[in-house]
This record gives sequence, C-alpha cells and structure tokens, in this order.
Amino acid sequence: MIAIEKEIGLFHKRYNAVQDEIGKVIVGNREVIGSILSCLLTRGHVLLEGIPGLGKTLIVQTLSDVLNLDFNRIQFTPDLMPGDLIGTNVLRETEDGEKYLDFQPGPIFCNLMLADEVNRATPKSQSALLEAMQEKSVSVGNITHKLDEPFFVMATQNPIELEGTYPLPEAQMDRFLFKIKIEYPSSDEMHKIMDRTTQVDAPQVKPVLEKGEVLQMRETVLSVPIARPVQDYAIRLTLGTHPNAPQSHPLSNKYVRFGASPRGTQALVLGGKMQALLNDRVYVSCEDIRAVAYPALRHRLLLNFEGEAEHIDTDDILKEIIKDVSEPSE
Amino acid sequence: MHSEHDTKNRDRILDFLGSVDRRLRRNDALTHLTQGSWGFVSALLFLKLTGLWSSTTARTVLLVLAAAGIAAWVVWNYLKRRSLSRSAVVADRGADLKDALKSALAFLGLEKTSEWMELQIARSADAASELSPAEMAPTVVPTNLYYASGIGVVLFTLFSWNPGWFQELQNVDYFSATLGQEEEALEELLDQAEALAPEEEKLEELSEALDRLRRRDIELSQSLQELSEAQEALAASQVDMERLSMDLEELAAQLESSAALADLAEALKNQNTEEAAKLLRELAERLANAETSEELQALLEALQGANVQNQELAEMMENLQQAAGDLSPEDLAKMAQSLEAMAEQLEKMGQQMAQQDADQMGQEMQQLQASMGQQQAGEQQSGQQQEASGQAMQSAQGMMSNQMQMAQMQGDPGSAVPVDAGPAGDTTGPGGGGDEQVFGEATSLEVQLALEMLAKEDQEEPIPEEIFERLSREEKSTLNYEVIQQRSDYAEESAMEREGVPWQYRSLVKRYFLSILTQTETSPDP
Repeated sequence: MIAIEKEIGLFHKRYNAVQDEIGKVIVGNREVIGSILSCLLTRGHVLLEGIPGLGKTLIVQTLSDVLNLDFNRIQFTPDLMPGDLIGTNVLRETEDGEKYLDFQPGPIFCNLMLADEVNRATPKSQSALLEAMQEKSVSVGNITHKLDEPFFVMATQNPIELEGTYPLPEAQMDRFLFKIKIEYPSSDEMHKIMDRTTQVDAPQVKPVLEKGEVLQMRETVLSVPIARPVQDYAIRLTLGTHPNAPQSHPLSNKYVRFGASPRGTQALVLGGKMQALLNDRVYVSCEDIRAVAYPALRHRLLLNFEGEAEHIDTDDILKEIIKDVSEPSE
Repeated sequence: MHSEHDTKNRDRILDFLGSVDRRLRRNDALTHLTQGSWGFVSALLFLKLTGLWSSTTARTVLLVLAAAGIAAWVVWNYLKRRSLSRSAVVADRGADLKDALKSALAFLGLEKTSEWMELQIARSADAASELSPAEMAPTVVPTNLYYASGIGVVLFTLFSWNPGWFQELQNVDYFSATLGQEEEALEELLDQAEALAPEEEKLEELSEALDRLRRRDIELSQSLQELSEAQEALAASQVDMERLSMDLEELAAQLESSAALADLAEALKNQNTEEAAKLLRELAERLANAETSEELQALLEALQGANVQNQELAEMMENLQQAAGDLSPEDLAKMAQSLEAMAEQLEKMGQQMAQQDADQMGQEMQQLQASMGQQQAGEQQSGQQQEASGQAMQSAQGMMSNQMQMAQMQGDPGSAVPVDAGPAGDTTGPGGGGDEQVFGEATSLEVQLALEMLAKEDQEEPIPEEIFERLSREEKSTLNYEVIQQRSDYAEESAMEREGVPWQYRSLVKRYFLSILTQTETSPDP
C-alpha cells in the first residue's frame, strides 16, 4: 500500500509538472488541459470544439512539446484522401531489378495527432480514423500495421462555419472519449494572453514527460478501483439518456433519438478514475462520475427532429438527468 | 486470504456501520411506533363513535389486540436485517466522505481485492474510527409520537371515565334526528297553511310558534294547538263568494215586491253591485231629505224578509231594522248613514266578485285574442294571394288598355276601339254608347298578342305537340333544327367508336383501296 501511495504521489507530481509547463504558454483553460490529459491517460481521444482564435491548436501543440512525443498535425480539407492519412503502398525496385510494394506510412503513424478542423474532410477520410482510434492499428491492403503507444488523437472543429463541412458521423463521434467545449477567456486571462503573445520573446516550453512515464501514468489511472454502487450510478446515468427505456429520463424521451452507448459508460468510469486520482482518492465516487458526465456524454446524445428544431443543447438534457438520477442509497 | 491487518480494518468498518445501523433501525422503530399510535387513536375514536366501545369485554379484547399488533409490527421492523449499505450512505453523507465507506463496504464484499482496494478499506477504517455513530445517526423521536400518545391517553381516560356530558354528546345524533323530524312536520303544516290562506298575520303567528318551538320555549303539543287554531281562523276568514251571491239574489227577490225598489231589485238580481250601491245612495239622500215613504217602507219589509247569511250584510240590515223602528229624525239620519255604509259594502262585494272573475275573463280574452290572431294570419295569407292574382290581372288589363289608347291615337280607322271597350269581340262595351259595335281586326302585333292573351285565358291549355304539328302542317314553323346529342353510356360509345376492321387486315384493306384508286386514276375517262 505504501507503493501505491508513492505511485499516486508520483502521478500527482508528473501531472502537475505537465500542467505547469503548459501553463507557461496557455493562459487559463486548466480544466481543458486537465480533460485533455485525462483522455491521454485513459487511452482515449479528445474532440475540441470552439470558435476560431481560442487556442485549440496551440493547446495541442504545446501539449505535444511538453510530452516529448512524436507529433503530427494534419489539416483536414475536403480533398484529403484516406491515403493521405494512413499512407500508401509504393512500388519500389531492388538493385536486382525486383519490384516490390513498400508501405509508406502516413502522418497517422505518430503518438500525438492533431486533426485540425476534422469536420472539413469528407466522411471517407474521416472514416479512415475509425480503425486507428479504436483498434490502434491501420490496415492497408492485407497488412495491418500496429500504431505505436501512446496513440492519441486530438481533433478540433469549428461549430459556426458549417458551410462546406461534413459533420462527423455518429460512429466517429462515439470514439472520442471527451468532447470539450472551449469558452472565451476572462478579462484577466486576456491580459495575460496579450502580455505573452505580443512581445519579442514568446514563452517556450520544455519536455517534462517521456513516453514511458506517460504509459506508467496510464497504468496508475486504470488501477483505480470503482465500487459496484458507483458503477451502477454511472450506468443509470447512461441509461437515462436512452429514449423509451425503463430508466430513461422524460427529456430523453422527448428530445433524444439515440442515447449514449456503452462507450459512454466507459468514458464515465475512466474519467471518474482520473478525477479520483486528481482528488487524491483511491476509489471512484459518484462525484467523480458527475464531474466528467458532460464531456463524456454530450456528444453521444443524438437529438431527434424536435430537439433539433428547438435548438436543444445536450448539456441541458444532461443537467436534468444528473439532477434526477439519485445516488445509490442502499 | 486476508491478513490480520486487513481483518482488523474490516472489523472496524463493520462494527461502525453496525452501530449506525442499529441506531437507524431504532429511529425507524420510533417512526413506526408513531404511525401505529396514530392508527390506534383513530381506531379508538372510531369504535367509540360507532358504539362498539360499550362492551367491557370487547373493549379489553380490542385494546389488547391493537397493542399487540403494533408492538409486533415495530419489533418486526426493528429486527428485520438489512444490508449495511444504508448505514454507509448515511455515514458518507454525514461525514462528507465522498462515498468512501460505501466503496469500502462494496470492496469488503468481494472475494478478491486488489491493493488499491485494501488501501481504500484501510483509509475508510481510519475514517470510521474517528467518527461517532451517535453523530452519524442521532436518535430522533418524532414529534407526532408525543401528540399521538397524548391524544390517546386523553381519549382512553374519557372513554373509561364516561362523564355525563360526554354521554349526552354521544346522543347528539338522536337529538338532532328527533328535532329534525319535528321541524319537518311543522314546515309541512306551514306550507299547507300558506296554501289555504295567504294571511301574513297568521303566517307570522305560525312562524313565531315554530321559532318558539325551536327555541324550546313551548312544547310541541302547544305549538300544534296554536297551529290548528290559526288554521281554523284562516279558513273562517275566507270570503264565501257563493254564499254572498245567494244572499244578494234573495235580497233582490224580496225587493221585487215593491215597484219603487224595482230598479234596486233588478240590480241586485243581476249582481250589479255598483248600480245597487248607486241606488242605495240615492235612497239615502232622499231619506235624509225626508222624502221617503213608500220606498223606505218597502225596503224595510224586504230587509225583514230576507234571510241573509253573510255576517257583515246581516249586521247592517239589523241596524237598519232597528233604526226604522222609531223613524225619528235622528234615526233617519242614522239610517241614511247605514244605507250609505250598505252601499259601500255592496261596492266592496262587487269588487271581490269582479276580481274573482278577472282571471277567468283574462284567460278567455287571451284565448279569444289567440284565435283572432290565427284567423287574422289566415286572412292575411289569403289576402296576399288574392292581391298577387289581382296585380296580375291589373297588369294585363293595363297593358291592353294602353295598346288600345295607342291605336286610337294613331287614328287608324281599323282601330276604332274605345278605351274601355273590353276585349275584342265584345259588342256590349260601355264605350259603345249603347249601340252594338263591331270591332275590326287588330292592326298591330301588340294588340293582336294582347287579344290572344285574353282569349287564351278562356281557352284550355293547348298541347305543345298539337301546336307544333299544326304549324308544321301549315308550314309556318320557325323552329330551327338542333343537333341533339345521343345519350349513350361508355359501353355504347366505345362500341360505336370501335374500329370495325381488325388491325391485321388494315394493310390489306388499304392496299385494296389503293389499287382501286390506281385503277380509277389510270382508267381513261369515258
């Protein structure tokens, strides 16, 4: 048990180091960075949504600099082809004149991949990420190439410029552990941003975490146990989003066409484990589940026609579900 | 295999949660006891009000059974074993442990635990050792338990003591029912009295009697006696119109013997009280002037002979008879006053009789008015029809006369028809100056048409077929030929439009006609 407490202490030390180092460049957004790290450390992927200019790309680039991991950035455009992502077989010729196909890996072969404006690519190219995100592998022809761990996809999308975009299909959305909304910075944060970005010397960050340490932190997070009553609470939250189900919420019946999948419950539990560790607990509480309910479930609720017509925000539905689903009493 | 340290942590958690659970169950027992007490009190009150409390044996049995039932229910709830999860939840909430004890208890139930779980159990055990079960689950006695117990004790004491006022209170229903029956009977009598005679004074007396009875100032029998007296008085005060009519007729019969009082007798016989009163007033004036002799004597004889049963009329006649006995000047004046009073009484009787007949006359008037209205409506309808036919005749005659005037103004010798000569051929028109006139033929089409219209009215309606036939024979028909579409349904139409030549023979037919055409064109002209 002493080893565990040391491990937890080490986890906190590394986590805070990453946060502090990112904080040199990124003003505020500590919760956003925490959520991104949660996704990274629970083997998930993150989707950042926000209007242009809020520093989505900067956050991801800074994180890659701090983690000292192999980083690739792909700007998604309508003419982006799947081969541009995962790579292609190239015909080569040996010195003896023998020809063979050589696989040329695409930019997806990295540890941290920034899929910038992911909704601007066609669904065909977006679907090229499906296998990589879930199976951590890429199949080209008859050969499946395993991606290096950790493989972490950070995608950004703009919610306002919808012309010429292709909304992510549900299967693609479901593969993101969290969907994080980036809000406007406050007035104080704006001052700090101006001070840092309008001078000659821009702040620089240094790598504070190696690949092995990241993997070790992952194991620490996944080791956190969760009691059955708390897990039952997470499941009831998920089932509350399902329309026309025994445990469905009235708002779900009214506005939701499809609720969260079991991946939603997985996201709740994994995010809860991360939250428990950050709160120096060795178990997951219902409070940890509630803390990650919004980013874990908001993109998994598919609204029906009535919900779309009334511009219902899935966060509002989740808010009511969280309020009405009771904690286990016995 | 748990280590000794792990077992110790487990025991610490379970002991703490067990202690909290006992306290929670004790609170539950108090809550159940409160509910049972309220049920016991309600049942006690119910039994007392329904009269089931009277038997001492039943009272004892019910008390013992109820108390035993409540006790058994409370004990059963207290001893009912539940999981310690509720205690863990209560302790987590009370100490703000963020589900620590709940998670630890869940981990304790697992057969295989990890080091992380053991760490959590150890942390929870340390937290539990610092907590007090009394603080987590304090004993709470529901306030309602005090109320229920207090009310139960008071009721039980009252029921056992059974004071007099409570016994009366128990019989309150019987008293209320009896009083209600009396009131209903009195109200029925009051309704009957109202129907017999709408005398306000009597009704007020009845109402007062009823109020006094309600206040219990008098007994029921006394009230009923007053009621019957009032009812009799009401019946006696009614004016018997039939008796009054008979009295007037008898008085008239007595007066008929005197010629001087024939008018008065006739008026009374016809029950014309107004005229009778007028005659009596005249008689009083003459009496005051000492002009009466024969008439007064005859009147007195008539009054003596009359057998009048109307009380007021009889009293006045008696006064008259007494006054006539002396015939002194004072008595004459007094007698004149009596006659004046008699005249007023007759007028009053006449008004009563007239009022009684007013309703019947009103109904008859309404019936008469309704029948007249119906008759008037019928006459109005027939009048409109007659007016319409009259207007038609008038327009026809007007047109004819206008045409005749036009013809006369044109100076045509053939149109020497007088303006009001009547129809053509009528040789007896007034414009003829009495001589027979022979009208020539009409010289204009309008006049001819007008004459034909008049002649047409006397003739029968011609049959159109005959007219057409006749005109056709005379070759004067101006009817144009019209294309009349043949009525046919879809089947007939399709059958008519169907191509008679099968399509496979069309080319053959075509070639046939082409060959004929070629031969015709090629053949030399004859």
